[in-house]
Amino acid sequence: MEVKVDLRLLNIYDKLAVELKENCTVRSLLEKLISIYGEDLKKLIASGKKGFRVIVIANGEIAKFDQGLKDKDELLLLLPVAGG
Amino acid sequence: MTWGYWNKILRIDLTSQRITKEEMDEDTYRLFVGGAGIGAKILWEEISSEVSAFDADNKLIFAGGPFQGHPVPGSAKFSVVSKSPLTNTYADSAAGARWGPLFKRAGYDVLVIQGKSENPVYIYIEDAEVKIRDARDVWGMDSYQAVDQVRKEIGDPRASVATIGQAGEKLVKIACIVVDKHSFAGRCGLGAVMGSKNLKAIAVKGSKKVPVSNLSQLKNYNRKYFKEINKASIESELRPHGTPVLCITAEGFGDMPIKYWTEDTWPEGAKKIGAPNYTKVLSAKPYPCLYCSIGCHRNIEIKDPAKYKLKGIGPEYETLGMFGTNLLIDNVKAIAVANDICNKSGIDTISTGACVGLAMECYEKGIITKKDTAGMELRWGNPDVLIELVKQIGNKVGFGSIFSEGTVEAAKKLGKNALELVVHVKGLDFPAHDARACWGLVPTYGTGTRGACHMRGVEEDVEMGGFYIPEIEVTEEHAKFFNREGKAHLTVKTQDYCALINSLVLCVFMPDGGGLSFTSILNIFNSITGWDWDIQEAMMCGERIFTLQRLINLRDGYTKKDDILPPKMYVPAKKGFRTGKIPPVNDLLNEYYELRGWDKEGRPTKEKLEKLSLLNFGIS
Repeated sequence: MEVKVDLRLLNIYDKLAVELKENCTVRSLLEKLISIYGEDLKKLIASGKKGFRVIVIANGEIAKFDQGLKDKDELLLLLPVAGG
Repeated sequence: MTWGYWNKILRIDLTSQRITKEEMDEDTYRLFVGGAGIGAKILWEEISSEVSAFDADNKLIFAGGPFQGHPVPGSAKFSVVSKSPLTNTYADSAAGARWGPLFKRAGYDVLVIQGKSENPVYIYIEDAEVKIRDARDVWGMDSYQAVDQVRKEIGDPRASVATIGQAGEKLVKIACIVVDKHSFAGRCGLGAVMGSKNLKAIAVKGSKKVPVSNLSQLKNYNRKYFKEINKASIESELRPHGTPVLCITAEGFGDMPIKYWTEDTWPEGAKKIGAPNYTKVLSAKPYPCLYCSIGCHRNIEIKDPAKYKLKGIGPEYETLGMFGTNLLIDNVKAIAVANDICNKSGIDTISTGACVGLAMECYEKGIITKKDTAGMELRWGNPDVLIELVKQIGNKVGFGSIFSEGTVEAAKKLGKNALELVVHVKGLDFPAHDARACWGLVPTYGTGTRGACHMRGVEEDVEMGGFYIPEIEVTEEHAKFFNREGKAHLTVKTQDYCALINSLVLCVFMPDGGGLSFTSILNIFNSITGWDWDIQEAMMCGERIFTLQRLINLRDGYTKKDDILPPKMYVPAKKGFRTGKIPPVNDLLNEYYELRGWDKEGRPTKEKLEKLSLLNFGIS
């Protein structure tokens, strides 16, 4: 299956289509993205108790990391930031 | 003597030129802590509802708290409290830089300024010596020139100076107080109150050591937390990029104002004005206040083009929101120049951005034309219009002078349906956070005691940024988007928490972005005061302070009808994250009143006041 990903994560600001195996989760998508973007993305999002520090919006709704994905899902990735 | 305090109020009557020093008892500190809390107490007792903001009888209260005077991370702050000319009720505004700690070290907790000087003056405080000096040579200067001139006259470049620019002198109701050319008590027009008293500046130097209960423990906490906050702020990107780091995320959530709250998304614009582009284009670097390991303020430098050449303080997230996406301007250099003009003339960039947004919308809708603007075309996205209008507003000249009394009064003068377009609560313009995105902001803005303010509740950071306070049940459970459940709870807790933080007086970025826990804050507090407060006692104090501020609002004539949000907040988005969503404003407010123990009209009940020890203050 294929999902569309819109990354808006400081220096990593990109749009791409990602091929995933069936029954993939948000977590496995994030791991795949780290394999694509490397250390820069890992440093930015791989931390915290849940393993990732990133907000994932799937088809307009906040997604959990163990949430399953389906073909043609559209995902927006944002960095959680405080202090406005 | 009370550990962490001097038990001392410095009172200066500018009419009689009389300077007095009064005692304050420990019970008052235990009830109201300092800063915004002590200021509210003095305002309640000394300013009746009949007094208007520019009356000589209005008072301007500068207050620190127990944290000032020690190298506590985030403690280089002070609160200014007065009756606001913009909202005609309670207002507090906080600033950083160095003024708060130096004033405390001079031997005072609170400065009360009353009366009105016949001629322009400035105040110079150096420990026990307090002087009122002629400021006729400083009057008319911008805020940066005034800081330099006052320092020159007192012969010390390290003195801290809180001043007003030309806007405060001219009673522009969105005028701010500028501190050391670095930080700003921005909101509610308190710079104009200073101007109404013919008071240009207050310079301070202090050399005393504030006594504390357990100095060695305090030193250990300061060292430990300083490092922890620094580490957390690097991880949260607040130190590397400052508040501009918020832009891309806030826009993604539909939280940023777009075209004066009439459109929903503009990712390209947010990307161009926010970090990391901001950091690169403006060569931005952290510029910390005293005792801060975050350094959220930015020092910037623009070398070209020549018309934007600038070296100094860069715009914050709020300014980027209100001058950028709010006006469809994506030129971050032009925004920085407009920000600099505001800083120098001394006007609040949030309300200024609202004024320009309202002007552009009125122009687009034909409410005003080129005839009204002396030929200027107020088109969205035009940075030259922004720069020209902020000059006019800050100096109260030309078409821009219509905004010298704020957006609400300007809209009344503009006529037609302009008033419906203004996005405000109680006369204070919304900051750059949309209550349709973060529903906890609905009751926060609605019941905000100084009007619509995100710094008196910080729900947007709970919902968007994962800022949780587990000690008071502010957790992920309450932070679900577009879910009414838990939002009123969130508001009550964070309002009381912020009332306490603003009374301590602690920079809210220490916890929110710097990761300082509530427990750690109380560790510092208890080592200074020796009081052994727990979370419950601290929150009770926060609730007492917030409730007293609410009582001042009610006494000044505000009612439940003033807790609602402006019409644009009932319009759902057509695209983006908040598509089709409208917050249930009335339901949220009713639940909020109930949780607060207020009646259905939004008035605290007698039982609630008794529980908060407020009946003793003559409130019934």
